[in-house]
Amino acid sequence: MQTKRRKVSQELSRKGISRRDFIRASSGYAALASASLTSSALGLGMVDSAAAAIPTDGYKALVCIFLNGGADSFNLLVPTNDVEYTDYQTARGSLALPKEELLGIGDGADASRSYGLHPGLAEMRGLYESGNLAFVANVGTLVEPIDLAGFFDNQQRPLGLYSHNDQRGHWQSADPRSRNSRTGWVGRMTEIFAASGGSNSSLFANIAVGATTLLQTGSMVSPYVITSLSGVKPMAGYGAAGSGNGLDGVYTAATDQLLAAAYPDLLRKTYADNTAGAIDAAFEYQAATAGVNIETPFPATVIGGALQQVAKAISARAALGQNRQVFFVNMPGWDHHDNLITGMGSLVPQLSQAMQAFYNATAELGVSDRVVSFTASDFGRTLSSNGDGSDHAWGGNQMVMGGAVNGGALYGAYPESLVLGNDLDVGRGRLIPTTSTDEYNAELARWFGILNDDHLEAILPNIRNFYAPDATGYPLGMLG
Amino acid sequence: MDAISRTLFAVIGSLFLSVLFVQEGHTGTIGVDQRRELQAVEAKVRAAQFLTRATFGPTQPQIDQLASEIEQLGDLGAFAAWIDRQFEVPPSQHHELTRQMILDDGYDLLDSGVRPGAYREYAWWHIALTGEDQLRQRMAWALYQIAPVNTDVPGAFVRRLDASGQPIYLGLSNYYDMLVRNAFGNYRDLLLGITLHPVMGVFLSHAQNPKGAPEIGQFPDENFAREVMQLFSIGLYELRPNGRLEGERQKKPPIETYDNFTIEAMARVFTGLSFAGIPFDSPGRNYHEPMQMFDDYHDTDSKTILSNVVLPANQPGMQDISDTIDTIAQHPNVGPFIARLLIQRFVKSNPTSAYMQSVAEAFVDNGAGVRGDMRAVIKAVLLHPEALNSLEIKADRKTPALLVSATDTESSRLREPILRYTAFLRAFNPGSTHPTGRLLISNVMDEALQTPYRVPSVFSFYDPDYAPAGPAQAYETSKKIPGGRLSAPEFEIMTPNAITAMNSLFYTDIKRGGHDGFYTTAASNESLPYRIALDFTEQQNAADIDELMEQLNILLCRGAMSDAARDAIVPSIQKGVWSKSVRTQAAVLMTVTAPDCVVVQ
Repeated sequence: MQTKRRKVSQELSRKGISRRDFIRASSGYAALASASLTSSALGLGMVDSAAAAIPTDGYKALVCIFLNGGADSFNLLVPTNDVEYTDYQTARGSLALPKEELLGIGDGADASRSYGLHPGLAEMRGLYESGNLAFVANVGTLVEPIDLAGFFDNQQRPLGLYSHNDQRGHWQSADPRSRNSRTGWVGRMTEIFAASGGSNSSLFANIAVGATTLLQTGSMVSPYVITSLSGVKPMAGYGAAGSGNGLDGVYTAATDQLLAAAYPDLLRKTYADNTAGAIDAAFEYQAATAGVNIETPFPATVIGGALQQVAKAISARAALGQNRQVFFVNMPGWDHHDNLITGMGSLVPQLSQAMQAFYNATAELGVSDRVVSFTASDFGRTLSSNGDGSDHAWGGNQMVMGGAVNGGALYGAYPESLVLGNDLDVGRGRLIPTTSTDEYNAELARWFGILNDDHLEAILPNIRNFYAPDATGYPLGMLG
Repeated sequence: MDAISRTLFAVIGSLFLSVLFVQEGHTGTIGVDQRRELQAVEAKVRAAQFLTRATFGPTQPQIDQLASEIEQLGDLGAFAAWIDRQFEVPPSQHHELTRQMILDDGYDLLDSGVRPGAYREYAWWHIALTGEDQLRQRMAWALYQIAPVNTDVPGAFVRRLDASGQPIYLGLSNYYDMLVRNAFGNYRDLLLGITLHPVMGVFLSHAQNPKGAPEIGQFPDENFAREVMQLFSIGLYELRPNGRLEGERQKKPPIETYDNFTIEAMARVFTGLSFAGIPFDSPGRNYHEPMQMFDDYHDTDSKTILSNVVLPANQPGMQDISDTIDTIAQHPNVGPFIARLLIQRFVKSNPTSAYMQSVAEAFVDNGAGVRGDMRAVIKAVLLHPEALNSLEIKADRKTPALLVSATDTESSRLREPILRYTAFLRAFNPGSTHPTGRLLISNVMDEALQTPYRVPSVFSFYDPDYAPAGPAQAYETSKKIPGGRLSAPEFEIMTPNAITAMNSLFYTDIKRGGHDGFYTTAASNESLPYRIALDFTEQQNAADIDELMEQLNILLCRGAMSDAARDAIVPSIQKGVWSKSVRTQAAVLMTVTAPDCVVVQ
């Protein structure tokens, strides 16, 4: 422990991080709290310092768009070859989208197959055709590759399958054998970057819109949470430094003293530290983003507003001191047990239009090659209907967008047939994923700068069940 | 006692303390003039601590009243008697009050000017702030967080009548009243009330859920079947009566309470329910009467449900539902599962196994052989020795002073944002300039991420197992606490912006002397201002800053403000403030934002 701490201090002084920064860093949100470096089995404690240095030059950002509730993604990407469409139609019954309404696309990697996109994805079809968007087919949480026999043989499979908070958690924690993980793969990645000299060691390395996220939480880091409307607002009345007179002066002076006091109760200490960090951060964040103006129009939707805030934060990256950032945008409303056709009819265009606007904004900022946006969701949904909706399932289809994406193609393996009872169907059209979230996330992490070494294993503990240590290419190839 | 001697006594007290306690102190000293006052002050501290848990926030008259009863009956006797009296107070009615508030502003219930969301919240806040049935309403708020619905349900803002003849938007208030009604009833009735409530039926989509048709690949909706077990009753893993995972001691993997086959079977139970008084498939709604069974749409095959109970084929649908609710309510997990959730809402985030066991035992048997009596449960939660003894209170008879120490991480809980705000308003005898005198509040907590009727999802505001990154996550608990990890659920919504927004709310209200808002009436086209005025007279009348801080320490901080915190606040005020009104503002603001008062024990 002592050695570790000393290492951290040396690291700090080497990088010229001030004591003030360090204090802020250790105050809840940020990178390098001294007390708990070895506390997490998945944290830095396991990472051998001999691992190769991570390249941290240039700017890169990842944007996770989380389709909260479990998007019915076999209605986002539909097979259109005759037999395959008939199987789809049979399996989905009243939930099947008419073939003539689908927006047709080919698969750049396999000319023998063809697909249609949900009619609300017009903008995404444009980006797909211009090579800036790819689909990853039937991806989901796995501990190791399994088939139908293995599933019923009770091979190692994720705990709490088909349950929202378990599978949402597993997408983010990358630890599907735990139902109460407290760190996410991005949070762990951030801590590795911080220890390797990346600039994303401050509290603005990870930004979430609306609520905190497991994905971006590490043993020491949490995302900086902004709101979709106003970003953040500084604390009223505080900041009248100097005189210490009048209500504001006393409030400022006394608050500083109060928050610096020692608190033996850890919850009080955490509250005090987080408050101190929050007060400073609001001023810094506002100062950094105040002058930002994004010309690109965004739709007036919740997801549009959220992605606009992300674009602003990217624009302010220099002022925020970042060259690696991860953003998280939550889009609720996808749990369509009911009214699936009309519900998705309203949500999907909102998603598509907001993503297009965001892509345009990254182009405006000159970083469209440096920002990769990707969708994630709790799970796919049952192919079978429950009347006018579908239930929780497993594998699903996701989108990856950005100039760095080898777009216009599908990655992973789209099921040969969606007929109920197919060889991936564990019941009701719940499909065993053919690509694991570990491969999906490893692809993103590698593009972000993580090498195929023990860092990747610390971030994604089961990655070796899917991706060999001597592999030179990326797991899926959409980004490498 | 003048300020100098108070300070002197405080210093002497601290010295005395350092000899008395081995533990490094974070103790608060409450000086008194004479030894015989020690007992009365201690009673006030204990009364304030209890009322912080059992109500939406202590008021000075209530503290004084309960303290005098403590002096007569002891704390246990006084608290038990207080709870017994609360059991008899008639429930405040959210639906009726919401309706009345709309009418009192001159609206017809279906008038296009009515803002259903605002009025629903107005009623909630008015009841929380002024209701006599404080414990019942606190319980309903806790139950709402366990089995929530939200305004995403269709109709939540629609100004039309439903099939019951009531405005459909009032259905959410009707759901809340169901929780209020069952708060002191039996858990089994509560679970049935939740199951059959049409708003829950829409929220978790078991309303209008027909039996499957496997021949065309159609199956019953599984949503409610899963969440009723995972969240409302038994949780994921088999528990021992003390809340520990079955097999934890033997280091065996936990045992799942149900698998997906159970869920598929239970999904078939919850088929055939739809809105009362209209056909099963009707596009209409009835958000005010329990859903009824339409047996033609109910799956009548036999079903093997939770605990391997077999429901025979061809039972009437309601019999299936009733048997299933019985089976869930009888599951051994319910006692410890509900015990933990309620202790977290009322007392502390990390109950010991002994504490959970005692609450679970009260759940199993109320003393008269009845299982699921929520009166016995809430009594066990509030009266357990761990709850009563979580503050270390010592009388220093020499000085004389009362030494209050709250240092134990495992006894703590972060106050919910809403409970912080209700306690703040209640402390200062709020009055309203609205013509009815009612306390209208809505939309103020959006940035604090906690608003009545607006949980983000069925997973409520925060996860019972959440802990923030940093030392709290790394902390290993004592062996008394199952699992060994520290939980601090409320921190999940304590985002940086939520912290500063909450403090900004306090600042603005304190600076203005009340909470300002706008309302509308049918007669007026524009928004009319109103103010919830706060009364700081008692505080203005305090002789000096020390007396003021001691008043506020009891009223807002249940006597647990540490000397360290007071020493951070008082000199700044002495240095920078000359008027009594600003002195009061500063002292109130610093107390409500002090970590010692935001985190409670």
